[in-house]
Amino acid sequence: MAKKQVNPNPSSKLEWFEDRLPIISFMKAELVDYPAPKNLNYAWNFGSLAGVALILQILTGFFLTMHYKADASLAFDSIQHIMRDVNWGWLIRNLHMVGASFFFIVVYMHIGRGLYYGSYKSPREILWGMGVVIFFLMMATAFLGYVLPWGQMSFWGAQVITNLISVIPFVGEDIVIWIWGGYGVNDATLTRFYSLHFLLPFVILGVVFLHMWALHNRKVKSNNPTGIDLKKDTDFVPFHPYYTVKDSFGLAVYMLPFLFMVFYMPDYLGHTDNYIPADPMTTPAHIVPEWYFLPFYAILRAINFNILFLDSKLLGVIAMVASIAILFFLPKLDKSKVRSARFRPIYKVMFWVFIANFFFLGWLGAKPAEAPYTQLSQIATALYFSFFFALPWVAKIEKTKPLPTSI
Amino acid sequence: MAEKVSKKDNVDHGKRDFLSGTTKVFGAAGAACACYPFIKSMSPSAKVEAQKYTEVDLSEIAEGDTKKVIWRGKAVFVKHRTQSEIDLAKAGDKTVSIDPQTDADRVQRPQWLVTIAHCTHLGCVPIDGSLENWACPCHGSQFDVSGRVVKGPAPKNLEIPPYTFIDDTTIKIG
Amino acid sequence: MKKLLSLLTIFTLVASQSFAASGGVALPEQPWAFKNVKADWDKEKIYRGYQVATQVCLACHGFKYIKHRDLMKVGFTEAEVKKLAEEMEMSIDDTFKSALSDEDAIAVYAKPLPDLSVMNKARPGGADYTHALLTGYEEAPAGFNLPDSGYYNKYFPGHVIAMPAPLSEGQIDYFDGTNASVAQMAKDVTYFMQWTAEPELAERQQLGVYVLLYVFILAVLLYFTKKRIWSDVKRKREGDE
Repeated sequence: MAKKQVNPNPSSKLEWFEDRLPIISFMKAELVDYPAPKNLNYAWNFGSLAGVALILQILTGFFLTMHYKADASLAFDSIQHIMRDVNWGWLIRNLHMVGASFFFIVVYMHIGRGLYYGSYKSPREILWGMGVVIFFLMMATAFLGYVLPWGQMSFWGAQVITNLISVIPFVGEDIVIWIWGGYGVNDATLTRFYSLHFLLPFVILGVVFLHMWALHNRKVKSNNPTGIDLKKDTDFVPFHPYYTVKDSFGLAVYMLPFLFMVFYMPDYLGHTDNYIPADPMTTPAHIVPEWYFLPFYAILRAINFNILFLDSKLLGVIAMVASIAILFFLPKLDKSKVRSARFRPIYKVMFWVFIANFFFLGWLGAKPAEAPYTQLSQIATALYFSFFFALPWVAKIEKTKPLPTSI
Repeated sequence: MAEKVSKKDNVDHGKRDFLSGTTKVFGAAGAACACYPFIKSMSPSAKVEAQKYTEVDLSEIAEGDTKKVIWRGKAVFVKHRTQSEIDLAKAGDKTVSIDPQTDADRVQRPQWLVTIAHCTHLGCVPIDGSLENWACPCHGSQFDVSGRVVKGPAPKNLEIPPYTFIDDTTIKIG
Repeated sequence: MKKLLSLLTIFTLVASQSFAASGGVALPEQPWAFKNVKADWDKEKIYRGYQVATQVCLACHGFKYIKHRDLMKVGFTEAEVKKLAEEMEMSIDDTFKSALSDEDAIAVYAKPLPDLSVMNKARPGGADYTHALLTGYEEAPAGFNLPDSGYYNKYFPGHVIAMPAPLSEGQIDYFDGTNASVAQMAKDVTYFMQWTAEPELAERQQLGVYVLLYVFILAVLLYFTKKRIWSDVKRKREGDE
């Protein structure tokens, strides 16, 4: 029974407080009582893991800001100061550095789960869209963060990626100069990248909140491995303790490889070139983005031909942006009424081909831009997009398996 | 049926509570330990800790002058006192009342006063150069030529840092 | 979904491996003591490496993140460190500066010479690369077009290196009388450079064991707690079917 007005004679301090700021009942409803389908498998762990990874990045990042210096002449040295002089600085930096990579692993798994079980379909279109926004913001944040150590890879990565913006017709060049705050990547660029790298995680946090809101909406709620709508109360269990303990277990398992990397191979996923201070006069022999960008980098480089008046540089950037932006349109493209790939024989195959192709693109992204890799990248890029464009057609011809009536 | 389930639950609860209790305590202990590196990261770094000592060349300070030096991030007055100032400080032994201390307790050699230059009230650096004492610009505390407080709100005399005479013209603070 | 998990693991390993091995020539791997999980820095090796670094490397390259005080963290006493610093006419808080100024380096090599503090982390192959490079000088093979300003090195990318062979037999009087062969000096100075590149390595690897052990136990505890908590749901579900 919802009360319309505050109780003038509250029976407890708690009620008095709750009447004015119902935060405790809100938390209880969303984190304790939230009805979660009881048949969720471990693929559903990656959502909460992504949340933990984000918090860990914000936390470690916050402590790093106390020691890092966003100045072209001091940045590289300040990283060494963190590694050597700051108490536990090496641990905090390694957590942040390896944490970025693991954040991406988790988010890729999370997206993959959504794709497989059709979590993007009605009524979860906005939930999915918010997720894609988060992914975009994450990529921007990771890119900005990688510039901060001001090593060779930082500098030249920034150079190459910011130059992509110059493809915008007419104003592109001016925008790049504006972003740089100069006529090349320079001290001003570093300082503003630092500001943005600090700001964006909080924007992500805001969008994550919307993402969660859309999920916890009682008209929407979590998808489940069968993809069917759950109607019975007995299909659900309260989030606490069932999923708090399951997510905690998942978190502990996640921590094992993560902390192993932090303690035993912190630089393994990085580039040796980034331990050379930035030098605007010498470009390293192999400019490779961080591993989590490689599939998209491969798509960017695959386009080495002009179409009509559009040159390859512009087309490459369009293809790369489109390869992610197309995820927004997934709910529109996939018209099949059945969500879960369990009951969609054709889609299931398509999904695994798509995933394999995505790994293949990642592998190609690390290779030099030469034959046969460029040609292979073109094929893989075509395959990547054909997944999306085949969906409306697949929905028409696919004979789905009979759906269960309940879990 | 309902009865059966609740019975089973009761049987389980004892074990569940013990197991989940252990897990909770174990997890919480780990989380608490994990906080330590973060908190500790804000303590003085090795670079700061390395600056334990400050050496001061006394030959640069003329009689009657005060030199301000930095020791571990704090300002320190090194004052070369004249004979009249020494006499004044000795005379003050009987008159200071807020935090009574003799001048002899505050100096190793009478002509050299070494004192931390932060007012014991809220840490401002008193302005020197006034005739026979320092005055704090923040809240008006006054200190005599021995660094003893003669007018509040400062509750204590200016602190004396640890220092040693390496030779007649050099001291090492810290 | 399990397939997805394992695929991803493989992908991560393969993809990252391909970065690690972008060096060119295969480097002979050395059995470095610091690769051991519970390795601690060995004071004697550091000391020998320090002798090579300060008497050879420092003529042209700096170690700008290293000062004598840092040696105290690997077992040197303050008195020992002070003595070493005094021998080099430095204070224990002075960083290791190259005897060659950047201007002079530019005059000869057209660029300032790289600082060596983090060098072992700045090249693919790390310590193995440094060691290979120091021992990789030899006569250029017949027909190899070696420019006058360069030297032939088996392991340097492109084989033409501007740095002349820095080590020669018997160049150092080791404090412990060890025979200063090129191989010995290369090994010691590489060990020293690993320490300058990541002095936290020993602490990191030692702590890692306990942290991982803790997380493993926590995971096991959580697994059983999870099983216990979910047991009634499982039972109900079985009852339904």
